[in-house]
Amino acid sequence: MENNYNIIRIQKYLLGQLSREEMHDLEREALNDPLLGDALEGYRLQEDVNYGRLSLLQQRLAKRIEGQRKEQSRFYFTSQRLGIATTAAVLFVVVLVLFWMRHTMFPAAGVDEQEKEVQIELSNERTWPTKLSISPIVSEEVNSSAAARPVIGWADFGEYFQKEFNWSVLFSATEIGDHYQISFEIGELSKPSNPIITMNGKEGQNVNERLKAEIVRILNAGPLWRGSAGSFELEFLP
Amino acid sequence: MRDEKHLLEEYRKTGELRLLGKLYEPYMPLLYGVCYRYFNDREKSEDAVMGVFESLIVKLRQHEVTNFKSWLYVFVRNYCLMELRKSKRAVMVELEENMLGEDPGFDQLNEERLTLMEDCLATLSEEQHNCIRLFYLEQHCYQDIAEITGYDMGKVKSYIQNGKRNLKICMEKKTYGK
Repeated sequence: MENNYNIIRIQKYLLGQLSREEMHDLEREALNDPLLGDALEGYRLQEDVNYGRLSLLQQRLAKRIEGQRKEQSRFYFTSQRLGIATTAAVLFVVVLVLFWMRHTMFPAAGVDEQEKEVQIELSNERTWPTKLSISPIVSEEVNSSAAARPVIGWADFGEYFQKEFNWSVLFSATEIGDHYQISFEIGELSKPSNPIITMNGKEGQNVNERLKAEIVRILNAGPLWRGSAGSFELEFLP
Repeated sequence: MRDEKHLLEEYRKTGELRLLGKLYEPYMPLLYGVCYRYFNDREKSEDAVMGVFESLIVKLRQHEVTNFKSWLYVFVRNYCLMELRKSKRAVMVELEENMLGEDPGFDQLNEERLTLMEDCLATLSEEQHNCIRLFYLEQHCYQDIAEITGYDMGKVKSYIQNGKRNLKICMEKKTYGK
């Protein structure tokens, strides 16, 4: 910087380290630059340029500037915290007011809401099965001639099953798409015996006991069978 | 200068001391010298330099300054004088030509005006004439002039400053016919 350059020249000037020409140049500049002229006179009066003290003076300035920076950041954090606290307090009050309004000014509001919830439940009413289909299971292990079939034929057996099934009681024990595998042996009287009922082809899956009992009842009360062992699949349809 | 102008504008807008510090720091050694001239005391001069900075924090946000260096010089002088007045100390401060402000034009004389100057030089006192001639025309330093003329160094400077002022007045009179 020009001013730093000048202070070095002033020091050299005072120490007599400048040439005659350089001294003249500085004096001439000082005559035209009152700041430089006065500074030169001041240092001439002091008789030296003390760089150590000038450096301390610069440090004082740096500290003063740093002071503002810290003050600003302290203020920023303080105001930030204050802002958060104020927002939280306002929100808290708003929630309290709303809560109070809900329970004092509109006491019926809660009941209405419950009713609406019920309506929503009704609108999502499940669709229960209303039909069923019967289809024989053809097993590779069992000789097709030995596979039992109803005397009246599969189609009539299906109609019989549909008619006999107690829909009014058991509609809710099943779901559309559920299918059950029923396998059994044919006894001496050409009646099914020891029926095994599985659900969706998975052994061990719980079959509704009432449904199981109904299937057994229909089988026992149903037509005669030809063959040694039979099996069919029962599927519930919409 | 452009940087100074930019820093001044930015400081005026933001009030960031960092910017003011950047502007002020380069002048501090010279300002210290100016203050020392008034106080003749190191600590007081240092305090004055910092005091001026504190004043600038407010002033430079209020005033639009175009020539910072000249403005600062006048401000520092006034500050020192005010401080001296507060302490009620009777201090003799030499009033000099250079306190009237910068005069960059004086050195830029053309040939036409050189003739005028020669005429005006003749109107100066012998001491002023000798010192002005030795300083401006023969480009001697104060020390040389003191040795050549036998005048005291302080007197040499005073003769040059007063001679310069008288020369300027004379040339203005002759130029504008006053």
